[in-house]
Amino acid sequence: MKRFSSLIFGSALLLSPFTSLPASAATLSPGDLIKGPGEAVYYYGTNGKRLVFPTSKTYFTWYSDFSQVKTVTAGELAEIPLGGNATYRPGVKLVKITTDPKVYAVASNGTLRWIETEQVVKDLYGADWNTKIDDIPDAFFINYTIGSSVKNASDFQPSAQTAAALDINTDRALGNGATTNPIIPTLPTTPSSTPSVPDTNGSLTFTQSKTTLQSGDILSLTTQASHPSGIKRIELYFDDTLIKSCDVSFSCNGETQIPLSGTKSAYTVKTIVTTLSQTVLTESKTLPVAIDDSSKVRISLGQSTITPNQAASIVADIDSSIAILRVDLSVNGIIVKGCADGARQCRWSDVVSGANVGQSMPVFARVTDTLGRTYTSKTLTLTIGTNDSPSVVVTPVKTSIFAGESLEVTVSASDNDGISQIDVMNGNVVLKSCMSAQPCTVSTGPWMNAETFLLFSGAAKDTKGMTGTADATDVVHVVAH
Amino acid sequence: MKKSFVRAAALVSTLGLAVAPLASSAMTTTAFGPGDLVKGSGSAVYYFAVNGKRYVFPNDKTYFTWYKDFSTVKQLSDGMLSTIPLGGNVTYRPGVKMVKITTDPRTYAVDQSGVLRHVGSEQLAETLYGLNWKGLIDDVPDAFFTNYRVGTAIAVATEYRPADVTAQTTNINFDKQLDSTKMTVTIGTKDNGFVPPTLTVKKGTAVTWTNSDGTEHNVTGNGWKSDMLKYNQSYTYTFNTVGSFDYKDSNFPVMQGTVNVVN
Repeated sequence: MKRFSSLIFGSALLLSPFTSLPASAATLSPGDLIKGPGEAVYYYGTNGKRLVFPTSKTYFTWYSDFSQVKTVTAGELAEIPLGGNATYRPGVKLVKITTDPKVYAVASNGTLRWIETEQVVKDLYGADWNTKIDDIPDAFFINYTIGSSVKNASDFQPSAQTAAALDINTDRALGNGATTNPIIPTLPTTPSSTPSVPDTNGSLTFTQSKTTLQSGDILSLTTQASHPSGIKRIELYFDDTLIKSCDVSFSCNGETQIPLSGTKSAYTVKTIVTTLSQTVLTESKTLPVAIDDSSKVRISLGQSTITPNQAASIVADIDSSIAILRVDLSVNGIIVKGCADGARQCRWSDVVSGANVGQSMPVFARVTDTLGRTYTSKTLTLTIGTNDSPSVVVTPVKTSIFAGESLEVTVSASDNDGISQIDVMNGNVVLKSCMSAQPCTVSTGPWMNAETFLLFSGAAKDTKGMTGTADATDVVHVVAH
Repeated sequence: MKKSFVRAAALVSTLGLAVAPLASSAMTTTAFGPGDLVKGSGSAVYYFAVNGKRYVFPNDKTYFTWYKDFSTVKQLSDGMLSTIPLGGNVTYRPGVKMVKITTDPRTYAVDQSGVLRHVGSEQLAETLYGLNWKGLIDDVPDAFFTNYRVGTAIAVATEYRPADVTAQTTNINFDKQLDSTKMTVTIGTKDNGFVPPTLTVKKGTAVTWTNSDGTEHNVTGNGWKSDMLKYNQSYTYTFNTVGSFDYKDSNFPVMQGTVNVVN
């Protein structure tokens, strides 16, 4: 197998040295081929980003030469973000990787379909099919998605696939759009095996990066539309405000930040697509505002009531699914501690200054992840009283159990005035009450429902009747057998 | 030795990472597991992850942010290597280097999972990486930039301590946020068998078998058995007791595997 490694260095496509090009800046429109002062050629997509041709072979499945390339200045090129890699034009070639003998046909939007037998390859690509196979470098295989396999020759028509992929924009917009914007990992990635022929009414797909919102979140909206007459304009709205419009494009992506001071319980997002035949397609959705993310950011107070000049303590535990950038702990609207070391736990303990007896202060933790999204714990209340509440600690012996298993949970408490009663609770149900200061232990279960989380909490009363609680300090995961 | 490697790597820079030419008759092994570096008879080295897939090092610079040499690479038979599906590309180990692309002057620090964070000033770069910061910037080829995602810029130096970020990202499984309580074995052809043939897992791990062969296969253990699996179909079994569990394909008994379950 011939390799192109002698042709390419640095992985971007090189123009042959004798190609002369105009050096002036050009007016760009989607679908143009562009280059800067360097030698790499890019495809300027309808999403306003430039696509990289990872190999010369990729380029030549779409173009026969470099005659259409426009030159822009280095500054102009730098302003256009990279939008990913171009993939082979469907139907033109067969592809494989060096370390796997499977031969794949290329369908729309970089979907690879394994051709199961040699006979079917022959039927589709002729007797000289083995001269039409390109080895794709491993590192670029990830630009493709694996679709269903081709069992029979009738499963795949190379020429129809090629014809349907008029240009790179069409190829990407007709299939799934997962590769057009690498910042949104949540777009649907169902592989599409055949090019979808637009029906006469046209169609539109409107996706949101989040199903529930929190203030400060970045919400990403994406619309992909098709219509026989072509698409004139796609508009994206958040809360009835236009956030992005894309002209002459099959897809449009926009981002907005959810207002920090918002009081709404839900926001409306909407897309309006105008086609070249003046038909208007529209879709809207209502996204509820989440009040807290207590399942992912758990917060507990050492004592919910403290006396003036007594130290309060806060512990926040962050779920492993969040890539933590920073954690802020807030008391009474003031951030008292910022943890930026990436640890899954953030702790604070200090005297609350300037607080008066009887005052109640909201306490919560807010986590910012590396993509700038925020997660907020539920809000607890810290009260300044004349008698402090007992300090309560809950300890289950295991953090996960199998369905059908039981476990022991212990609650211990301490207070300057002495403890009169300790309760072990599961949700609002008291599992056991102990009328002494000794740690209170209960064996609970068997817990039968797999894939559930058990929240154990504890409450204690001091000898003067003040109650303290440790709320959901530990979560036990019930796993299936 | 070192010199010959550099030359070999330059030649195949777009074809995956190359190791220095080893003795051509290197022995192959079937004893490998998640977290190992693997290769076939070719020169490319892959990271075998807990999800049963192999991850590509797009160039040698990426490799050397994670490893200092090739001493731990295990050589597999080509058939076994071909059975393991590609999972994606490895990105730079967080904190080790800063990166940019040739056609954009912005310099980025690398955070976990290939998230790039803009370093907005020379002063900030110097605070993070010292006086020699300019020597710690690599140009990432355009075609590999798609392996990264651009996150939030670094506002203040205390947000991002390179040494801490590196220390916290102990391996590629962790960097890719792969779930170590779920593991995958790929079913290959009759000749290549179950890959990897031996898997050691912690109690409670769910093991999934996925058929990558056009022929139907099954997974038959002592007291547990899958249906016939077509191409791309999967079967999952969770191991909740400690011990060594042999299994085979009842239609092709030559295909055998073992799952060792430990605490």
